[in-house]
Parts: sequence; C-alpha cells; structure tokens
Amino acid sequence: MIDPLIARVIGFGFAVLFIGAAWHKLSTPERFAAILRDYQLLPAFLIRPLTFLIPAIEVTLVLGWISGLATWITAMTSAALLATYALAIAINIVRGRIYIDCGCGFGAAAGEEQALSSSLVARNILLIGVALLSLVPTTARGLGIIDLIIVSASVLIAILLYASSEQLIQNRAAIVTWRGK
Amino acid sequence: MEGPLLISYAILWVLVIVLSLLVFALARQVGVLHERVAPAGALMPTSGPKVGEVSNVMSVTDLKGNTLSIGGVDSQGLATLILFISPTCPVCKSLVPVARSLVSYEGRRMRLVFASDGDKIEQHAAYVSDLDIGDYPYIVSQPLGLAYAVSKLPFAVLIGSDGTLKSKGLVNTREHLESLVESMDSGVASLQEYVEKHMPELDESITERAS
Repeated sequence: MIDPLIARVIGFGFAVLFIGAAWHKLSTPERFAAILRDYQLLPAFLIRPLTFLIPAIEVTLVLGWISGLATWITAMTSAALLATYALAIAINIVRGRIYIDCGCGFGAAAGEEQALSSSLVARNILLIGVALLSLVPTTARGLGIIDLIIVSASVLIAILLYASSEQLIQNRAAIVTWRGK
Repeated sequence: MEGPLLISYAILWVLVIVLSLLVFALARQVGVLHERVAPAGALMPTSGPKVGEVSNVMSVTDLKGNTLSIGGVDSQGLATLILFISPTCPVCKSLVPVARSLVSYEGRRMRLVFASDGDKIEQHAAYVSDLDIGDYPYIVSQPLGLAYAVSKLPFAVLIGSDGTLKSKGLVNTREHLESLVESMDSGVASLQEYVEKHMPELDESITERAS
C-alpha cells in the first residue's frame, strides 16, 4: 500500500514526460522519421504511419496519467513503450551504431542530438520501475491543499532532476567523442 | 507537526527546489561549454559513418528542384565534396569562396555540393544569391545531415567516385579543406593515424606527454 500522494506525483511526472516526448516528435515529424529510419529496425512502409502513431500513443498516455483513470492500462502501456525504446537502443548499441541520434531528448535538451549510450537503457529501466510502482494499491486518504502543494513541488523537482540527468548523460557522450574512443 | 518543525519543513522544501535548479543550471552550463568550445583544427568526429565505409545512396532535391543522388558509384567518375553550411553560421560565409576555388582547381575529378537544413526556403534562396553559388547544387535536407552525423558547421564530407567515404571533418580554413583532399589521395584518414602507423615511438611519447 502506498500513499495516494506518491501515486499522484508519479502520474503527473509521467504526464509531463510524455507531453515533452510527444511535442518533440510532433513539432519535427521529418526529423523523427529520419531518426526512426536510422534505428534500422522497421520496414520502410511502417515509418510514415509510426511517425504519427507513436506520438499519438504518448498523448493518450498523458491523458491517462492526468485523469488517473484506467491506471493499470496506462502504466502497462507506458512500461511497454519505454521497454520498446530501451530495446531499440540496446539493439543498436550491440550493432555498434551508437552514433545515431537517440531521439529521446526531452525538455531543454530536446533540440540537440544525443548519441546512444547504455545510460539511456538504464534510465528507461528505472522509468519502467517507477511506472509499475503506480500499480501498487493506494491507501484511501483524501488529498488536501497541503498535499496539492507537495505534489506540485515534488513534480517540479522530479522534472528538474530528470532534465539534469538527461543533460549529464549527453555531456558524457560529448566527452567520450572528444577522447576519440 | 507545528511550530519550528513546520517551518524547518517548509525551508527544506525551498532548499531542495533551489538545489535542483542549481544542479540543472550547472549541468546545462557544462553542456553549453561542450557546444561552444569548438576545436580549432580540422577535427574528424568519431561519430557518424567511418572513413572507408561505402556510403548509402541518398536521393535529394536541390533548391532548383533538380534531383541528385549523393553517395554510391558516380557515373561520371567524379568525387563529391559536400560542404554543410547554414545562413546563420559566420565562418561558413568565409569558407564558401575557398571551397569554390579549391574545387575549380580540382574540377576534373571533383564536384561541389552545398548542403544545409532548416525550413525557411526563401532564406536559403537569398543566401545562395548573396554568396553567388547558384551554379552549384544547394540541398536543404535534414536527413542528409543526420546521415553523416553533422553536428558542427562548416562541415565537409568527401565521397570518392567509387562511393566510399574518403574523409570528413569540421573545416574552418583552406588548410582543413585541403587536408580532406590530401587524405583521400594519401589514403591516410588523419595525422593521428599516420603517426600511429609510421612512427609508433613518437606516438607513445606524444601520448605520454598528453596524459
């Protein structure tokens, strides 16, 4: 049993995450299509529909997380989506194609290219864990004003820390290319 | 929970938020530094396709609407020099005449193609007339830049007539551009590679000094 406060923090956190992800894909569909192609996992005829289908799924997830309805489906779909990304990244790391753009930027770093690294796989696995945590039943407790403040503050901090770690992963990738290995 | 405890709790929340902001700002600054501290030499990035790899054939359209294929075996036996530039890049402006002069000198075996990205076509058209490069194909294509992992401008890619990637790199001066042609002719990708192959003892002493 977890406190409903924690469930709300997870819910809003994922809502913000997927808003960022969907926005990033929908605002530059051409770029997203190129990134999908670069992963070399899908037959060519699937690229076009998926360019719009994937952000559509993400937008649906945003609504699911905000509303708090159908938590089970929302959490499982999120976990499945994140697992798919992790798998796609892992396959390309194994292939040695680490130079392709990850396309998984979010927030401040979204506009820039990000090379693939195992930290991205680790990040996604961590996120899957958090998504599944929301499936733990919550205790029945009404949320008051003070809870609302705590939820907003926690989500804000979660966003900031997530963006920081994203930036640090990217910095590390830049340093690795400098060393030439 | 009341009195001093409540106050300390509120203060701690504020501190955590401020600290998170600071951490993010610091990480961002390090990231910006990486982008700004551009290397002065003809840096060959390790990202993107490797020298010697056969390049994928890409069909692209230039500003005039002509279709070109980039990569693959050239029917006229010419090498292709792609110079990635942008209207917003100051160094590019000074490098464009240099590239033209170099290619006119090497004209019998090389063709010059300009490439850029962005969606403001009229801005690119103005740029082309401004630099007087209407005679050369000017491609506006994001996939092309992504394919060669172009991250900093001006960036040049040299593809041999057989379709293999001969050399590539961030180019700021005529010397840098010429070094790409030199590397195609000599078959040595970079000075580092030359030192490694031909003067291993020198390479060791350089590595020692550098570390």
